[in-house]
Amino acid sequence: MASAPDREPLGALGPEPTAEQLLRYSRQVLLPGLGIEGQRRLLGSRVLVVGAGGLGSPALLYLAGAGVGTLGVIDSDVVDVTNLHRQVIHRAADEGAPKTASAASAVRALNPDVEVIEHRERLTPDNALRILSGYHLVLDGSDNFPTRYLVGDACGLLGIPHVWGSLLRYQGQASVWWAGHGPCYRCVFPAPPPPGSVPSCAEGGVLGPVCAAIGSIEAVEAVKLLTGIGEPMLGRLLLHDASTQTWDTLPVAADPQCPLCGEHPTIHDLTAAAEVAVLCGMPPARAAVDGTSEPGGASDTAAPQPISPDQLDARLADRAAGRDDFMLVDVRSPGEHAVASIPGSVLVPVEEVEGGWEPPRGIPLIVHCASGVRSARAAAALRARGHDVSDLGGGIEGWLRAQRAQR
Amino acid sequence: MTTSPAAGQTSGPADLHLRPTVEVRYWAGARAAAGVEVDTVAGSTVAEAIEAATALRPGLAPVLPACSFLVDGQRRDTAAPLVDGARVEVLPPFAGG
Repeated sequence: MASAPDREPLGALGPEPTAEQLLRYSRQVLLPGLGIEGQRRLLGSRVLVVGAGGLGSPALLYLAGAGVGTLGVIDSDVVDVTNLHRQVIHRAADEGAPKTASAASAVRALNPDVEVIEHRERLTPDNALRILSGYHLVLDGSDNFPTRYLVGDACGLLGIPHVWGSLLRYQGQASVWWAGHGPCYRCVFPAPPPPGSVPSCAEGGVLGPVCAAIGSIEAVEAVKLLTGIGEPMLGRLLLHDASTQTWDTLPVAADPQCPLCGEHPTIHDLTAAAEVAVLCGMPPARAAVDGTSEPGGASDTAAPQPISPDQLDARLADRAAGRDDFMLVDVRSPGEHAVASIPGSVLVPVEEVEGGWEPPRGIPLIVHCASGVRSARAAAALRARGHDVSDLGGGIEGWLRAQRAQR
Repeated sequence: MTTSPAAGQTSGPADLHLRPTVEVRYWAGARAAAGVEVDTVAGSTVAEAIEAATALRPGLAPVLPACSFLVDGQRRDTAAPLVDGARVEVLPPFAGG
């Protein structure tokens, strides 16, 4: 029944379970190695789930079911209709509600033993150490590189395990990073990829059940670490391809040159993580970097306000009536354009725009993408070459929502 | 050793005698871009192996700058030397969740 001698359980020993709790958890208390002590560890555990999205949904539900005593959930988003195919903790009726509220109510409905802490904010270099330090481990279900580097660096600095999974299309990866005990995230991925070189799920798509597969693996690893059972996936990288239904593991070792946990670390705070956000063109770094000159902010203040979906509709109507002239440029990929497009738009992927695509001179441009990230890049590139550019705020997703609201 | 094969030409048998023969294994998006799981190439460094692989599979070119390379379970810089029989794992990062 004892755990492996070198695997101390991370969870604090909670009180003796009540008769009702013993019944509720009876099927897992039966498990060799878990037992009543393991259940007490789970009830005494504090886990932070970063992101109540595709990975966070199954992870939160399974950790709640298992009786993890305190579940923190951090997310600043609201539930969107495009989330529902994979973020199964939310319901159609939750559309527009904060994801933390929707997730918290699902967790409470599943297991009243669990105390849920809602962090209805974005994780930033300012708040990360304060928030993470209250938890035994962090389960990373974020959806962007800046947050992943922030979580990885904060976990490394605090010495807490970083249970990690990520997704794209039909592929998933998972591991447990833990500086000092094995590799950290930066040991394998020392710096983020060049901006725009890796698509997000919004750009590349993702299959819902792949989120469930990887998110539940993260939940398994969390339970193992908290109770001390089994061999954690430390020093191994799991690679899943759902399209061929293959699962592989590669050994990964700590890197002595690692900037975070190597022999001569250069990362001692969250400044490097803040720089990732700036590099990736993400807004959070702006609010986040304390007292610095906001590197991403200067060009933004020079850029005109984005136009709203209503303003675009008015201008499209004016153009149809011959009272306006402009070119509406969709800077997403051909695949995304084929799924849904704004009538009258012209497809020029952002890579081509940045690669030097030249629209006709003398005609104003309106650019859009899915949600506004790539169109901001395209607008900046075109403005730098002297074009008159407006950016559709919120992208086609915002425009589609506005269309739906009008019906 | 000092001259690399012309672009588009695969490593010939003579070259295999001069430089270590290594496997390059592609994962996730790199596998999709390469169209195969693994290639056997000649290369005395990670950079040479990757260059030879790109000559075989031009579709890899846009994917590789973002990738991490693992050799024997350790992430390596492109300058890292390779020995005969080494395997380079090509890992594209992704961040979706």
